[in-house]
Amino acid sequence: MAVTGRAALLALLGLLPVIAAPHASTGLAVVGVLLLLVLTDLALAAPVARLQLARSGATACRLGESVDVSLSVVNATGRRLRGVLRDAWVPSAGAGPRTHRLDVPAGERRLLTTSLRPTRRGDRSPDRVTVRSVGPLGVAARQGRHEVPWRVRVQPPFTSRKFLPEKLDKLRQLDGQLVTRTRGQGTEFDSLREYVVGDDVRSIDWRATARKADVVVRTWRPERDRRLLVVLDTGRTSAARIGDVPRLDLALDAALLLGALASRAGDRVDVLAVDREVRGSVEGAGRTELLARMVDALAVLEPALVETDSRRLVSEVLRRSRRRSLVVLFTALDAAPLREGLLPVLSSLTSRHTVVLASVGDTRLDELASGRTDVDAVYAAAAAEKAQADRRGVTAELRRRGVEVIDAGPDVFASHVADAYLSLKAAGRL
Amino acid sequence: MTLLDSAPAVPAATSTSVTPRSWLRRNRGLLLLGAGLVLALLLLVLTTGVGRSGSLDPDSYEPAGGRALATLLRDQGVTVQRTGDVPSTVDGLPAGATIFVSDPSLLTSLELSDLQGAGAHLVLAGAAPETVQLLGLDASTGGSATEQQREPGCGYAPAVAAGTVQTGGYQYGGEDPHGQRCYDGTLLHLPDQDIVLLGSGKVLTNQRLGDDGDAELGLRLLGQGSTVRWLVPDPNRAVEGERKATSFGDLLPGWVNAAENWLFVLAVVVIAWRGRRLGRVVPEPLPVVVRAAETVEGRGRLYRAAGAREVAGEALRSGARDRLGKRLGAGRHPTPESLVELVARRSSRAGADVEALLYGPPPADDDALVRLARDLDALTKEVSGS
Repeated sequence: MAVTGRAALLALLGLLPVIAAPHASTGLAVVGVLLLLVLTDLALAAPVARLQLARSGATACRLGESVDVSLSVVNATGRRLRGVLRDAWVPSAGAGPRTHRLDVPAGERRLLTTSLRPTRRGDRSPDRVTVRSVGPLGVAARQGRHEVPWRVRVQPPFTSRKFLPEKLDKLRQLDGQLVTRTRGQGTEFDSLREYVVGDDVRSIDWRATARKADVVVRTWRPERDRRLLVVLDTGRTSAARIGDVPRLDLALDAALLLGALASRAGDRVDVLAVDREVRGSVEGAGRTELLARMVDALAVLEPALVETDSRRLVSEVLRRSRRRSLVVLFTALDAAPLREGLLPVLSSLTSRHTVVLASVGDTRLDELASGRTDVDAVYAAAAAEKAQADRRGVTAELRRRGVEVIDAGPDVFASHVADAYLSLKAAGRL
Repeated sequence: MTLLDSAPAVPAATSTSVTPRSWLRRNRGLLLLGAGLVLALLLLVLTTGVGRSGSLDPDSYEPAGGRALATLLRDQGVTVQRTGDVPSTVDGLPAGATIFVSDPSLLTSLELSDLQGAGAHLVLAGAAPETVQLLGLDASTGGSATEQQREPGCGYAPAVAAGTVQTGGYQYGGEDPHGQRCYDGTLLHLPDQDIVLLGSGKVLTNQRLGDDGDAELGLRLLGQGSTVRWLVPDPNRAVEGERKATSFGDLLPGWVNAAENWLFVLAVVVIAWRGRRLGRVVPEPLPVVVRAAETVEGRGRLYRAAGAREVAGEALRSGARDRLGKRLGAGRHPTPESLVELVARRSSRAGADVEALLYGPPPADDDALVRLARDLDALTKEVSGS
């Protein structure tokens, strides 16, 4: 239960009779009248527990966009429901308005719309719905709560989508470039067509020419239906913040661009997120549904504060991709965890697959390394130089073992990853 | 808000409000515990009775109380009446009654003379020198005596009957020829005024009543008549001859007090109005994020704290060598000599200078380290710029 401002006002007005007749009995009488009013109002207010609440509306939303979720309130009681309703969500759901005014005659329904503007990726869900039903006198209210579960999956913003037209353009150039090319690495047979002047005579298919009246040449196109496995390391190193964004979010962004690009190029893309256990995976998704499924699976990933189990990671990769694939591993290029975790088990991966290791470089390191202002800055610069030397060392070691390493700043990271994919595709190394 | 005329299918009940029944069920344990405690308390009170506290109070069960003596007296058929002030003590006093004052120092001179005028056998426990003076007795008060076993040493009948008793407190003397000093003066009987001064009331407390002849002494001192008026002066009693001070409140009109009380009621209502939240506070499940460069910065501070100029200088040098080597195309792992030669040729500096800069000894102090860092920068810039 709750009392309203009107009850407080009545209590203030009660001061007048108390002053007029300053006696204990006056005070008791006024308190009695107040109590009577409050109890009457409570008795006449619509019961909250018997309301029927249900949700409808958006279940997914891109980060930075705003969606509406509706709450239907059915007044199944015999009394008019007046009062306020609070549809509480977790703070990062950015729900508004905070409270809704309610005025539902008996037996009717109202639809309350809460608009969400999430500030964080992942599943956002509502807390309790609290209803305060005010009595007809407006002095007191019944208060009760309902739990009406819902879930809005907030998807990563995919800011690197801006790179997509440029990368697709490159892909088309690659396509065109390879169609005129003869048989070579990274190409496969496409179709037969009539010879036109300028075609390479070496591409004439004599057997087909013999069957037809015309000279027929074979055309080639870039390999299609190659396999691409995107592996996201969600261990402790992915929790590190580069600028304002966790490493994992930058990796997600790049993974989405890669997925979008590869599915357009006709390759099959699988996704795996793993630290000590598998946190999410997309397998066998068709071209059209890939991006939606990726977004859905990646939206809920959170960095886990555990050391990634590299053996587990490698065995999961090997289990998923029997055929030779391009494995793009998003992790951090930190010397110690790599040397102790991944490097010892890397050979079983590189022997079967082409491996690309992508890590977001920290611009703060460069900033630190150029610090010369005072003694502290110079010591920090020395530490940064050492860290960079370590990174270079482990990069060199990885490259020696045949792993392609991408180490780029946060703003160009996704673009570099896409470029690496395109150049590998052009070189026919998929 | 939209009004929809079609009624939807009845959804599942979503209410999670606390009903009285569910509240009872959830708090059953606590409620049972509370009920048990209340029961135990009731039992305790019923079996032991409600007592007052305070020394030598006839209703007090405490070690310093007087309940034991009062009970003993009642068992002997003596009526024990507890009083709080002098008027009720002397009012309708039967002949031959005894008045016992547990703490005479709380009484005013007027009250003391009223008691004296009551014509009863008067027993004062622990009467201070000032009290004795106010009573106008022919008795002097010496120092105070420690509590110890004492012989009666006099002919006063109750003392003789009680025999050896542990007494203490004030010691009384006196010129009264009829006065009987017992127990080294810790008990003085003045037969003329029918007053007994007791150095300290401790001898009559619950704790000590079982020792030696204490009970005998108490019974004989107080149980001479059929009635004992046991005066425990109430500090808040109305005292005759004293004018009650007027407080600030007495000067205000009557309604102010009433309004003041009403404001408390108003405050309660306002608190109930503003204090009720519309639903609980919703917490955010926050992810853990760490700044990526934090470990590097931490290591920098460690270097500084440890004064690791050797390591820091070498890190700076190797970074610069790496950049220079890359810039000049010196290959992946150039020998010191070849790198120095390349750099010297490019930067128009003497070979020895370049070698000292790139492969020299560790800097001697922090200033030298800063200088080294800046020199390396200058060299790199020179080579890159030219």
